[in-house]
Amino acid sequence: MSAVPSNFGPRLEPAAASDESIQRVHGALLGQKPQPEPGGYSLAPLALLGFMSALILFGCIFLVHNRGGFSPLVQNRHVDPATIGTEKVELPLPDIIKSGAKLYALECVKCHQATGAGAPGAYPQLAGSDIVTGNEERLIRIVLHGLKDSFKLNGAEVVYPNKMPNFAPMAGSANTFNWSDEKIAYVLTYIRQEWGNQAPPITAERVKEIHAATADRKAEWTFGELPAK
Amino acid sequence: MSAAPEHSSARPPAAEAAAIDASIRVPVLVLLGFAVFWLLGATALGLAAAIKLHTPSFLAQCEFLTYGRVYPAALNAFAWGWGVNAGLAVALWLMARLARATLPGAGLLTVAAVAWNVGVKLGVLGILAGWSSSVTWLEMPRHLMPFLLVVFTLIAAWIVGLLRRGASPRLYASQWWLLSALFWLPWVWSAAGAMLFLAPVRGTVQSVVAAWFGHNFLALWFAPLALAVIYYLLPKLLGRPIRAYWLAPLAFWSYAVFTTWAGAARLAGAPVPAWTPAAGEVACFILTLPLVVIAVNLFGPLLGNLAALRSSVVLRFAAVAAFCFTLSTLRLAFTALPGVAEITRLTWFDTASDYAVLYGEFSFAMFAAAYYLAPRLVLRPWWSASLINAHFCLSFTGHVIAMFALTVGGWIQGQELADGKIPFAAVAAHTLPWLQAATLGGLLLAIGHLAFAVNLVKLVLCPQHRAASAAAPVPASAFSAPELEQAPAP
Amino acid sequence: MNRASLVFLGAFLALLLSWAALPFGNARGYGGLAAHVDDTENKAYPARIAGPAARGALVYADLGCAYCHTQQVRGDADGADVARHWGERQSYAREYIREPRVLLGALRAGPDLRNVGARYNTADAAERLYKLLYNPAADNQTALMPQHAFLFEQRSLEGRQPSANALKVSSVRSGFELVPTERAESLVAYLLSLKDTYDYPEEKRLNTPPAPKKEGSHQASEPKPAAAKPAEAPKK
Repeated sequence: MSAVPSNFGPRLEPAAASDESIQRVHGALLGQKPQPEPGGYSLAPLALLGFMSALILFGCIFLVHNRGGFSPLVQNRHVDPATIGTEKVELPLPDIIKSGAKLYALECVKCHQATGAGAPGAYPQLAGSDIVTGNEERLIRIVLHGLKDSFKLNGAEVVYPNKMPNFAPMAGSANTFNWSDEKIAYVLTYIRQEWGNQAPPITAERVKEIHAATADRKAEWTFGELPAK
Repeated sequence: MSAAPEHSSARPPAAEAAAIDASIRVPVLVLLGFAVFWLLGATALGLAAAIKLHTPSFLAQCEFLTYGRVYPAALNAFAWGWGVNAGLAVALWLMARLARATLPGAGLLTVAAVAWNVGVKLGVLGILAGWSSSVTWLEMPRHLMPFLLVVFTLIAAWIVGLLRRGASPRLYASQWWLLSALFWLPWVWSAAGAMLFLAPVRGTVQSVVAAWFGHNFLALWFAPLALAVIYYLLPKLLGRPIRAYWLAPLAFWSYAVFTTWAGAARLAGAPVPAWTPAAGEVACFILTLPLVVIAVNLFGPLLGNLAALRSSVVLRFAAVAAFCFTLSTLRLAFTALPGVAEITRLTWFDTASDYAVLYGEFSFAMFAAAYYLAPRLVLRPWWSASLINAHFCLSFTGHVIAMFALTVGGWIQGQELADGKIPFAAVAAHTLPWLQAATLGGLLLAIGHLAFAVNLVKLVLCPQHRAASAAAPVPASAFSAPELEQAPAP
Repeated sequence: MNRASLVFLGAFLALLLSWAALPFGNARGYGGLAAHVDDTENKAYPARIAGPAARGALVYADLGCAYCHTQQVRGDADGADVARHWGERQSYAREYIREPRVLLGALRAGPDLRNVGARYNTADAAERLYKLLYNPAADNQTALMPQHAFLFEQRSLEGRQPSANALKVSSVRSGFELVPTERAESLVAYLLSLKDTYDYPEEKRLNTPPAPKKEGSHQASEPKPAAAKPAEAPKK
């Protein structure tokens, strides 16, 4: 323990132990656990063991709560994909409308226009149309299988040169839209709430139900075949 | 591993400390000289970057001096220049001393050291010239990486090879840390380089690799070298053994197993799978276990001998390094806590945590080692005692100011960022006084580093100092050391 | 602990374990993530990065933008990124698969840039970004950003028509014009390409915590369907 006296101060600090002795002493200390008192026990190793176990326990609990199911796509640590399940969950309304808007912009807009006003004499308007905001089943059937000939719009008998095409697959039809019931529900919900229209949403189940009931339809509807408001 | 008699029958005879020092003199001094060169270079670049943060018009006209280039250039000069050179110098000296082996082929090793530094210089210039990859710590032009990796691996293997030549049958704690650090860096570096540049992984897996490397570069190179130095210097200067040394292997292994995961904690909230940051956070919590053991190991002998701190600058440097290790590990665990991570991630707080490892922990330990080893290599005392004291005071004060400023400023920044009602420009403006304070801290560090560099140049090269020392040589007794007394069993 | 081989083996295994889980495990887990094909729009998301934008990503890296700017929107559980309008939702891993060098960033000295293209969505967006790069100090909001005047060049107008993309700034000498270099054009093209507006259904499903009530919970939280309608309508 006695340091070699030095008069160099910090310019040359004396060593207080040789390398050999450091290794020898510590080599001996490595195997030297504290000896308990006779009849007693040593506190330090136990406390350390307790600390270690507590850390590992806490770590495991933490990981279980934040693991996100170890799924590569789960980034929100508060989600457990096991509780979400694999069945498709219904989208919240704003998302349905967003999807519907995209679908509308893809096809419907070509005739009915972005404003929903249609084209006078060529395509009917959707904004403020009682067919859009009126009877659910009638509207669904029109989109599923199309509409031809004259019909009644906002109380007036009208006729347009073009047919409304079918968006569901139909035998004998050249249209290849093949939209799913879900997509039809989304776009209908959108047009029923856009441009000042205010009608309740249409669910995919309702479209499916009506599609199943009219599955054998082979031509566009005429207005008379459809349920009135 | 009881105190068995030396079974040195099959081993070469132990070399004398003086002979060991003589055999490593040139490579260690060359590495140390390069290290100090890079330290000054990194300080200058870092200071320029720090000023730009609050005064963006400073040196804004040159493209190669824009912040986005000066800052990574400073980081790389610091890490690969100062960090690796100083680390290798100290590792070489410590391994030779603890294995009690003389170094063969010192000339070749010196050539390798020069090659390393040519490579790093090209790399830093490459960053300034616009070849940066912008991946933290791996910015240097990618084509340099294989060259640097090979040179580093050769030097590291050479140092590890001393074990086979050595006479010591035992490994001391410092050697565990040194051996693994010399092995870990090429391992983690080549794995990250391959996954980021050779055959790049897709998407944010790159960010996972970068976070894994970024933490492990600090935790598997800088921190182990600092610990190796502290574990060696404390008994060496205090004449007391490490406290509860039987626990040191537990600290080593738990650190090795868990710190390698901790980098993922930085990815909290990032677009990576949730389990990745969560696993990193768990590792950060468990790292408090090695922290407790290492703190008992190191502060045990220190606290019993506080008076020694007053007389020894080397011990003071080592004590600050040990304290910063404690602090930076606690910061890891703290910032992994739910509720805290949201605030500190992506702020100056986390950057300051890295600086605590790079500067407070690693650099202070390297300064301690340099002040202890350099006079023994040249057999002359340092040129000026007051420069040594000045260096300590300036580095300590500068580091405390910069750490405090970035920690508090980063915390405020994080809290304000978490409040969507405070406009971003206001958040950025509120960090300004703290960034200015950090620049002041950096300025003190720069003056301290100058004092260190002047002292080292004078010690090794100054003819007057050589002549004065030759006229009145240091008595051999000043380089000898007494035996370490074995403490009574607790 | 006296055998160097034991230390080496242990050190190797410790690092191998973390490598197998973090870099390797994630590369296996989602390194092969494919673009999502939206069958309604018949498009793949994320979109391919166009040539100028891809070159701009390199400029972004070599200028070190990522040291001050992040490119990751964190979810509501991790801060106020969405409230700051840095994005509509957290960023998803799939959105980065086309990028050759992913730079999420580690510090927000500047604002997040993941959706900067969605924020700068007016017709003069490129010009605004050029002005910002040329002299950030002109606007108090961006005054802390360093100038990037070196990305622009002054050209004499003698004998030439003014360029279409010349910057309208007052500091240019008369008879000269200030035009962005090709690097500035690439960088701005890259920045404007940064917009994550597509909702990935799989990610959305897996990152939305289940509502506390199962039955009709969204109807209960949306009092009037019409009122809950999002503001933006398709402007096609």
